[in-house]
Amino acid sequence: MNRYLYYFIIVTMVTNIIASVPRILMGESKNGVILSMVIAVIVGPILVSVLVNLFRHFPNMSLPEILKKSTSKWFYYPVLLYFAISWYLAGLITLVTYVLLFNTFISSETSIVITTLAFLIIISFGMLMKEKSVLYTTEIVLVMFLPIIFFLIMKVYTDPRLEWDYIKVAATHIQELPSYNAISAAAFIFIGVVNLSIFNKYMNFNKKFGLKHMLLLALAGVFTLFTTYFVPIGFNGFEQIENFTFPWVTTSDAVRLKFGIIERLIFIFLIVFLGVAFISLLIHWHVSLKLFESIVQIKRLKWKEINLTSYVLVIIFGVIGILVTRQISEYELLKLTLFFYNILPIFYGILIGSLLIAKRRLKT
Amino acid sequence: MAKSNPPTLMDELSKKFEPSSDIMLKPLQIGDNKVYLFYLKTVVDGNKLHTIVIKPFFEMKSNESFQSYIESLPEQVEMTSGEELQIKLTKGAVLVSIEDRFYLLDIKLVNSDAVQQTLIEPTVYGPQLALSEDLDTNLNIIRQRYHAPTLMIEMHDMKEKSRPQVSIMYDEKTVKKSVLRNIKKKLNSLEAPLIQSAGDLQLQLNGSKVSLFPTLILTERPDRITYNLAAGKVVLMIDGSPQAVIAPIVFFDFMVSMEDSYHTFWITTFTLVLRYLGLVICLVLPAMYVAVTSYTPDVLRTELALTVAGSRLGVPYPSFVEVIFMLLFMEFLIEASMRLPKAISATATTVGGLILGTAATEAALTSNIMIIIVSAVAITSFVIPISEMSFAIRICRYLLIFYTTLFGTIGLILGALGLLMFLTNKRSFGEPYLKMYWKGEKKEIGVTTKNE
Repeated sequence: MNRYLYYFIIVTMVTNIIASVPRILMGESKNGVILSMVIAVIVGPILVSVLVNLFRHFPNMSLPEILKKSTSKWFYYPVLLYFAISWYLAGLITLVTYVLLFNTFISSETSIVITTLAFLIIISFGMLMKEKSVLYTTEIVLVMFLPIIFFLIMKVYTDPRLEWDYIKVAATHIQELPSYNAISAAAFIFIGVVNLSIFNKYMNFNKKFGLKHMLLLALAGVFTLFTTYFVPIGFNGFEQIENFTFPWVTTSDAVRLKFGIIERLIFIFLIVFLGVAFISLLIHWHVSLKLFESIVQIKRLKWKEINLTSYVLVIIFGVIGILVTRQISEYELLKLTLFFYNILPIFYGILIGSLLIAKRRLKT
Repeated sequence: MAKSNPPTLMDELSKKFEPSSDIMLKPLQIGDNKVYLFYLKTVVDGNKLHTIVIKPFFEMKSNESFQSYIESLPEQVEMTSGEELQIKLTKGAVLVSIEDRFYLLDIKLVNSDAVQQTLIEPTVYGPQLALSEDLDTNLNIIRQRYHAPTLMIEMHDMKEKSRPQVSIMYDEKTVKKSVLRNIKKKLNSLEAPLIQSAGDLQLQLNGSKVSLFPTLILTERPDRITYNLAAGKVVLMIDGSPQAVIAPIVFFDFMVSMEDSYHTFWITTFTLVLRYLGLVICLVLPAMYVAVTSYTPDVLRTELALTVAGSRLGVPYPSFVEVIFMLLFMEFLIEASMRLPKAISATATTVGGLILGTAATEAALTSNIMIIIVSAVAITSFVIPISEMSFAIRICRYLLIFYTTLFGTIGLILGALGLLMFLTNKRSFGEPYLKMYWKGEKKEIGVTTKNE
């Protein structure tokens, strides 16, 4: 199996440990969140395996190529546009969340626009890179940061202030009926696989995505969700947990590194997670840019033989990014994120449906 | 039947070379046998000419046997005409005329074929001798170290003014064909007025004029050359330069010292880790100082934060000015000690490093901690084995300081990630510059290369 596929999924998982997912889960903590997570852990890997096995039928092709080859214009234009906007939104949510996070916890004096700008300048270069470079960057950043993240999480788990009793209290809510919000938020951690729609071009799946791989993914999902949901509860108690804006970050601030140069765990935490979140943003927006490029190519925008369409798109991406981060409040962000997570089934439906159509059309 | 006049070709040639004083047009005669020699005295080995041409001529009985003797000499090269002939003569060829037939013998005199000590990349163990300034000697050195029939050496004549020979060397078994084609294409399309050394060649092949990171390694060590040949890389050598150019190169190649091959596993691993640590420190530390002092002092543990703040007490300007000011002085110091003759360079380091450093802190122009950081940065930047890479890193350091100054702590992290992306996006003759290589890469069904 191709290792880059796992990187995509891991990146989304890690990014969402401290971002919006814990907050949504905490919000639903008395509405059957545990069963929801169980369902998500089962449904997520199944969706991943369905998608991978569908993409396997189109080796060395990206989604725009597949659709353009097999379906007609009136079908693939709206579909691709929908996907492009969705990916842009996914990236935008990550961007806004982490900018807010960073401004709240590390540099509260810097203006939001400046922080966003720091992101946007670098990400603009990243979006315009070659596809393979995105893969290589992902790999290197993960290899550098994952060990640190693992160490930090272990540090949190072994901290004496982690009260397992609180977790047991939370676990008693197992008999409640699952809620839709919680399922979609928990299932979101598996969304990394859909990045295949562009990167499928560079992957070669020679084996089927089988039960073994699904089990592996489910285990990773269980670990991620357990860490996401229960650890903040273990530190802060079950009753108070709904009121935190960023439960995980607040939690990490409770841990001290006794012998480190940096004493408060929160700083290393934010910085390391920021690195991975940046990669998540990079992948999402890169895919979004490629999808947009497959729809619009303005022929007149030429300067010295180079078509400037992608540059214009990148600038539009950035401008919208700045406008949104300036305007949005934390409450609105939560609403937007929740809305985005909730429409995921439609997203999956359209993706799987169009792939099935393409597969049938290409066969005949 | 002997002619009394030299052949017309030689007359023409001597007219073309006219005001030069080193042209020799020499008739040799014994009895009826007469032979003409034409050459440039300064580039031809006189002793060799005497033993292989002049002496046998007087020992031979007839012109016919001398002719067949000349024809069977290994020094004989293909006869050419026009300007090409003149170029060959300037390179040390001798034109021999026997009975209206012309032969060209390569009897050049090389004064620069002495093998030099390793100066740029010295190691404690391993070979202590580097290359020489003569291409043939260098090829001999490599052939002596790499006894493989698959080692191919192709010669390529450059088209510019000094017309040096460039040899393209590769192991046919391991070399990547696309890379080889790429390099040859680039070599053919070079349009430089004058290429004098391997460094020049490297610069010309590096791609665009304004690139920061080198995509070729310049080396003087024969063991590094053979090491890279075995790994399937292409080595270019240019006549008259004691360095060779290796391509394609990835980032990790710059962090390999040849010393690594001569030590045990743990020692090698330890020094390798040290080197990467040095790389990170010399790249990030100054920018981190800016971030920590000016933007987020609360990151550090309280005692340390207080120490840093205390040491900056009385410094009249923001931290980024301090950092750039001190780093620039360090760069001046390095540059000065490199350019000065050996006898004086020690003075520069003493005055600059010891006296200036102490005085600057006492005058409260900079903090004590800044001095420590600057020295740490200076030391760690010399840990990188290939100096071109350490130069590139030096420049990146300023970019990172700049980005951190603008955006604070987040700028530091994002700037570092941006640098990483820049490196992963770079290609060296079509090969990715920075990429993780796992064991068994070929077996793994990974990212295919055919789409690029």
